[in-house]
Amino acid sequence: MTKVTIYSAKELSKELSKSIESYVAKEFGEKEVSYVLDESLIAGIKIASNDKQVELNLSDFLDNLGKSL
Amino acid sequence: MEINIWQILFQAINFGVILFVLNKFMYKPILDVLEKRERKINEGLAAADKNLKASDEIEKDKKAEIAKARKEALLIIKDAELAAKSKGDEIIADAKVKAKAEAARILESAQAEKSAALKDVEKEAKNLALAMAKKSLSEALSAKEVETITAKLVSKLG
Repeated sequence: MTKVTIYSAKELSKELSKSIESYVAKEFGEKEVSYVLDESLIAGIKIASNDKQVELNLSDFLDNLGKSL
Repeated sequence: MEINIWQILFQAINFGVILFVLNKFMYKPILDVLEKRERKINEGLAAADKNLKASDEIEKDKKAEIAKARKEALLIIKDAELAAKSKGDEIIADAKVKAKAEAARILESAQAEKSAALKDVEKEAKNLALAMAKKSLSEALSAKEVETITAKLVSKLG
């Protein structure tokens, strides 16, 4: 089973973890999930496996904020 | 004193005979010899004169040849000087072109290095600005705000 690591700046709430895990199951298939704290993310998450990576961070948030303005 | 006409006649005849004999056997040969000698001397003088004239001609020709050779030598020297000057000019022009090309190459290389250095500085400045912004934001955002932002981002995962 391939490992998927979920990085976040702060510890995620249960609700958030559930949403992320359902996404991981859908996009990465059944994987072994682990959580790692990474303060450099500030806000947002990074999901990484051996062959795939998805990152949503503060700059994405600010970009969308800019677009909505 | 008595003048003897027969004696005078005899003396005259005698004188005539001597004159005839002397003329035939002495004067003529001697005159011939003298004539021959004079002719020989004249011929010798003529030959010497001719040789002198010939040697003058030869001397004249020699001088003309020397003058001609000198003139040709001067022309050759002039041509060689012109060729050397032309070659020298060619070498100088070629060196100028090469120096100009080298200077342009060095300038281009320096400009490329400057651009690369500026890009590095720009990159470092961006990284620094980003790091400072992150640090400021991490200090400014509360835990709740971080969670809200994260939740908004996660919702985009769909």
